[in-house]
Amino acid sequence: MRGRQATIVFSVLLILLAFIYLGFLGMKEGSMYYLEVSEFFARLDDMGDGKVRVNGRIIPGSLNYNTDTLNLSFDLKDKDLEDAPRLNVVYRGSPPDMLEQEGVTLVAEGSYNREKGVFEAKKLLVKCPSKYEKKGDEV
Amino acid sequence: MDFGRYSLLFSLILAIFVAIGLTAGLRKKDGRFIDLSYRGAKAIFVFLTFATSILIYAFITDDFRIEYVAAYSERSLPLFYKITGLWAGQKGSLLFWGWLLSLFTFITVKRDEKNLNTLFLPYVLVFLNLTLIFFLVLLNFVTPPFELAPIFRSDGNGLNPMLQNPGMVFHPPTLYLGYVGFTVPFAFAMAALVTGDLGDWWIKKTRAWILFSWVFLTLGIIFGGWWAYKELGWGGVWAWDPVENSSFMPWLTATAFLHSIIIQEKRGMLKIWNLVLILLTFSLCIFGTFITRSGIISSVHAFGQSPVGFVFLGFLFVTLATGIYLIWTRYDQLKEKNPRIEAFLSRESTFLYNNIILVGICFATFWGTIFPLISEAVKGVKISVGPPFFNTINSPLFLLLLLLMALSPLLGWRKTSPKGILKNLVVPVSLTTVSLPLLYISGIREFMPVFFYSLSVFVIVTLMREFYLGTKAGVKNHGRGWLASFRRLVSINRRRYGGFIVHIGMVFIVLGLASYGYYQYKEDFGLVKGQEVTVKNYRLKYVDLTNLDRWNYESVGSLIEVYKSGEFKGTLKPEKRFYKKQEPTTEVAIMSGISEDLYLILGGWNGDGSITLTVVINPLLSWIWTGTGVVVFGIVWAVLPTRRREDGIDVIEKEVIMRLKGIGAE
Amino acid sequence: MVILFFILISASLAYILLPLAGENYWPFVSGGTLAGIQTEKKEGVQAISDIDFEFEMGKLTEEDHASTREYLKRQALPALKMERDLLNRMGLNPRQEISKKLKQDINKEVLRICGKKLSS
Repeated sequence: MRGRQATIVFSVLLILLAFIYLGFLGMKEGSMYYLEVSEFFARLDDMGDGKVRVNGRIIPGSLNYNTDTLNLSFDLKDKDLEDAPRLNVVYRGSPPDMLEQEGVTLVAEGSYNREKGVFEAKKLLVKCPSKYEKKGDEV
Repeated sequence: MDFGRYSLLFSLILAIFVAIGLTAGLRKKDGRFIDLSYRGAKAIFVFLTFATSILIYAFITDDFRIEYVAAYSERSLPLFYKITGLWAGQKGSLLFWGWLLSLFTFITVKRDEKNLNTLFLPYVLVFLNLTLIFFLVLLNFVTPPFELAPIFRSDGNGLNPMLQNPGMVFHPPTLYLGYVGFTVPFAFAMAALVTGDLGDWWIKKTRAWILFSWVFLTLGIIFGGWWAYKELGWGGVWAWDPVENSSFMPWLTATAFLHSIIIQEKRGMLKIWNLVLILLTFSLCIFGTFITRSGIISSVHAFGQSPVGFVFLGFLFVTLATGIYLIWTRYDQLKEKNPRIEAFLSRESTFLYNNIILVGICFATFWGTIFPLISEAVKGVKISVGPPFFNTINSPLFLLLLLLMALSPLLGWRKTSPKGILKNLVVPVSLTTVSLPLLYISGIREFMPVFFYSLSVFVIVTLMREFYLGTKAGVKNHGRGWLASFRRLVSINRRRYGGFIVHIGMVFIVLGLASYGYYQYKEDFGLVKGQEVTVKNYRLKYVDLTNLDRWNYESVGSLIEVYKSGEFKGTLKPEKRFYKKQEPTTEVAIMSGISEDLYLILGGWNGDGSITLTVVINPLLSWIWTGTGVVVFGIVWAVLPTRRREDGIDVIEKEVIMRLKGIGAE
Repeated sequence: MVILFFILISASLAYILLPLAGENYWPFVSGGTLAGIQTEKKEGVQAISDIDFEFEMGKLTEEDHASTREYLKRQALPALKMERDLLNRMGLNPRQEISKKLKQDINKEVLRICGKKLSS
């Protein structure tokens, strides 16, 4: 009976070890910095060329979409700062909904191309502040 | 409308009455006070029903004096969406939640108030009532649904178009039914701890509740995915977003609970573990509400941030502290007479691994969800964890679950000899091996997908074999016909075969998720009128751009003719809609089939009529929806009343009595 | 409307407070009942029947089946014995329809004999 108990304990430990290993593996692959635009520029030098998520607000008027090449380009800046640094983001594909709305914040996932000085996004996530709950008194 | 507010206030007063009544009744051993609190609990249900009806009535009659109605409705909204406006926002959702809780409390009291056999119902009511008080305090003082609008309005804001979709209409109420449903088994578990009667009575009493809540939680999650698929226009159903995870975590612990209570019922094991699991499940329901409502973790599903989230966090701490304290006080008692798992190869050991893995997936999901908070607190920088993390760690664990699903029915309780297992494995393993070359031919060659598909085959084959063997045993041993034997098998062993049906449904869902996860195809095109493109075995022809003017929106749509393997299949019309009061949305067009979904997104258009079109092909995606149907059917099958095996029972009873006499003679 | 709501509140208050008009009583019994014993017996026997079914399906070897069966029989015994003792004492047949009055008497008897809980 003892031996069987040991088998069970051993197999559980094995599962746990595999679990921890997978956890490390996953963290290496799946985790990335989530930064505001200004933080992004501050950390640019000591950051590798890996994937990053940058959060910011689209500067009105900077949006440019070429329907032939499907190239989308816009500038991002910090939500609340006025004289904030701008980050030029490029993306290839259909622009997501609500991109042209005033005050839309957006998370761009991708990596920074140091030579061209642009952020090449692979994924865009639009966060609309009024998606589910209304804020303020808009009538 | 004032009556709504007064009803809520009076309900709170009644709930306090109930609390006092229970305390007095249990302290002084006075049945009158217990009776008083039962009656109070029933009256609360009446008044909350009243309040809820008033809010629905306000929606129907366009009473925009109420802020909440003005925020989520407008005169021209279809009646259906007006009624469901009840749970379109936070305040109404909480009212709906409170109403459900009062309904469930009502049912619980009604079912057992005449049962004087043991003293448990008052203690159950203590915990249900405390939860109810929490919601009533919120409804009265933090998120009053009947609050008046600060200014006069002739019309409301209208409902967000994204929420005008059947998926979004059913997603919240099913999820709430699941969340609230788990309050009942939780209350029973806590009552078991307080009374010290720690047998499996609380599990037997709440079995139906547990299955009911589980199936609604499942439906809630799937409806959410369905909605995301149809409305969010990115071509997928699941993205490991914090909001999604927060409904998935209680589902995982609930699923673990569902399995481990079977072990306690059959073998008297895992008593503490079951209490921990139900405590975790209930806490994770609350935690999920905290995450979604506080906006503390950035999510694409940006709900409005509000202080309510933190009130839920407080409630979560109180719940966890109470639960842990109660388990700790009964720890020695629970430890006693706890039989151990005797064999590595036994059905209970597979249940044990199932539990470890489900909780493991839950932990990984939890870790990934809150990691941005941890990293910000520890390193001062937010590090977000994306889908690759969840997929890397959870996919192998899901594979193990599939393996267990297949092995578990092959094993007997207590112990099984390896020889017997090998004998049982021959047919399923050989059939699975046969499927491997077929997978190779159909292009499934990568490591993980091969495992997902072949293990799915393995599970289906073993489960089918169970049905076959059971039927055959009836034919051989009792001389019944095949059909009669099959019917008898599935209607007498409802729990067992209902469970198998649920597993088959789960395999379908897993297949759907894995297929679209590994083999989704996505490509963007720029098209001029009349142009054709070929995507895999589809030929798409862009015919025309149309404009539509509807009562509450204008839309631009592109007509796309779809040919599959040369044959005309129909015309799809992906659109962009511009609502008069709301943000524009993308309306995707989907052609759904058994083998794959064709999913078109209109990206944009130019003055000359050229468009950008995103084409997505999702293999086997519709299996997720089919599988969900199978799961629901299985659960319904399992909870339908069982016809007992009366004939055999008598024989066994006599046999045991013979033994009794034998002992007496010794 | 206001008056109606007022009446509703008063009525519900009256309904809730009504029990306080009566005498103090404590309705709960803290022992097993006939129904409880019978449920326990049924479950015990059912477990044996489940094992038989598994054996029929070829999930258990003969040896495993026999030993598990023996174990489960021993588990089911106490409830069965209790039920028989009770019914014998009352001069009843296990298959007989039992009236409500009789049931109460039996339950009192249960309480007298064991005076403690049966299960758990």
